[in-house]
Amino acid sequence: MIELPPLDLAQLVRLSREGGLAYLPGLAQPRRIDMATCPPGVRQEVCDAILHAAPKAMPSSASAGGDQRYFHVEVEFEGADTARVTFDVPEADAPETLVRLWKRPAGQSE
Amino acid sequence: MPRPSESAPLIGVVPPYMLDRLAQHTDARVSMPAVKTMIIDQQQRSLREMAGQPPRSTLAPARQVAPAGTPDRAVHDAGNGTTLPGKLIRAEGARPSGDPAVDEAYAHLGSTYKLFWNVYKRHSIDAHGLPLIGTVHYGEDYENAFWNGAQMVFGDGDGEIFNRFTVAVDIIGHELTHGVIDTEAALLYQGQSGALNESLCDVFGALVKQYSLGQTAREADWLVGQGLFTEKVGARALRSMAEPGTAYDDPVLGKDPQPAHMRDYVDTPRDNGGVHINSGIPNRAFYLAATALDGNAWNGAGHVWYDTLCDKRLRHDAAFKDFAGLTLLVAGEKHGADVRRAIDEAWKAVGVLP
Repeated sequence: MIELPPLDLAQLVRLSREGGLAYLPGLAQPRRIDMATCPPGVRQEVCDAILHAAPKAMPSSASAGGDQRYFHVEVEFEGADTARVTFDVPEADAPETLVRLWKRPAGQSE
Repeated sequence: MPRPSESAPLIGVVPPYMLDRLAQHTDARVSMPAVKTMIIDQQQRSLREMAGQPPRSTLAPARQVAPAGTPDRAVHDAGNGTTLPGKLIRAEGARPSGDPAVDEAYAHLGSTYKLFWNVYKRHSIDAHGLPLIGTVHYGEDYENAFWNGAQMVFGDGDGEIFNRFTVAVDIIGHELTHGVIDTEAALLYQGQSGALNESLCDVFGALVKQYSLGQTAREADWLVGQGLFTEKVGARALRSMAEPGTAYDDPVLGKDPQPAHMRDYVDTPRDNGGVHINSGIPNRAFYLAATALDGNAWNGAGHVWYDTLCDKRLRHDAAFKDFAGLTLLVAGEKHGADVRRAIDEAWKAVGVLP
């Protein structure tokens, strides 16, 4: 349903995993990837994850009931007035590329 | 009959205010997709508004239902994959499998059925004998349990932070109560109605545990998910209904963020507006009412909470004070003055009622 702007304009990506049986602050910290400064390989990996995830997007919180988990993706685009796109992907439908991004080493965390 | 609602239907993937900003972006590559999305969104919203109240969940059983008073359990094994329901291991009446996860799931599904039938005369999740289906060994080191609208799913945990999720009877009671809520008030999973949804699951999960142990309200530990955490982390449980905010304080998990009073209500966009955080407030109200009345919590306070959940006056977007007010009405109509007084004092003690 969503149509993403070209990702070459993406400046910042935040990924968080929401839902589940409890909210545990230490395990819920969002991953933050600075697209302007990260190595080209990482940038490509993040773009792949977003492009694979976007077609699986669901209406906000529609997949959250019953303690099901979902990924919340936030992309900031460059410009004088920063624009953002956010969308949610149910864990059960999440592409492997997005799951890998979530499991990224702590060095990439916010 | 549909219940009245003031809330807007669920909107599209990108929040409207963000779409507005995107559509006004100076770069056409950013603004044009947003404009298109807004048009599609507006068309879909119009259709949904014509449809009115969100439809109630229907949980149609796939086969002949068990007679009232008899559960119909089936526990499957996903074999560490994610395909549901997986291979059937133990059907209703079959002997123990020898797999602890399978046999715990089977026993705890039975305990949950027993509370709802013996105490509230509810024949399974939908009150019409819906089979209780569970799948264990879901995913690799999967650290969660959930209700997907048709069945329960349990991970094995990672062994580092979490044990297997079948270990705690109240967690199975919690998840099945999500199914009960779906077929009754269908409380919206966002903000206060979402926190009520979570709190009701904790309440009936606790009652399943207390009923299976034969405990009174004052004997119970009022911990949610005791046994889920390994000994490697400093955590008593996922939540404490008696003392919200004290279940854990650990370098890996962080500190339990639950408030116990409305003055500490957490306003946050995370966790669907804090559904697992602010549930501490109605959880403590239930604990206070149940322990003030003493005896078995599934009677008295438990009966009022169940009757309120099933009451047609409970809106799907109810706030804490709406639910609290309805518990008092229900208690006054169907239960004794002492029960009503204990509940009134409990809601006042947590700051939900003045």
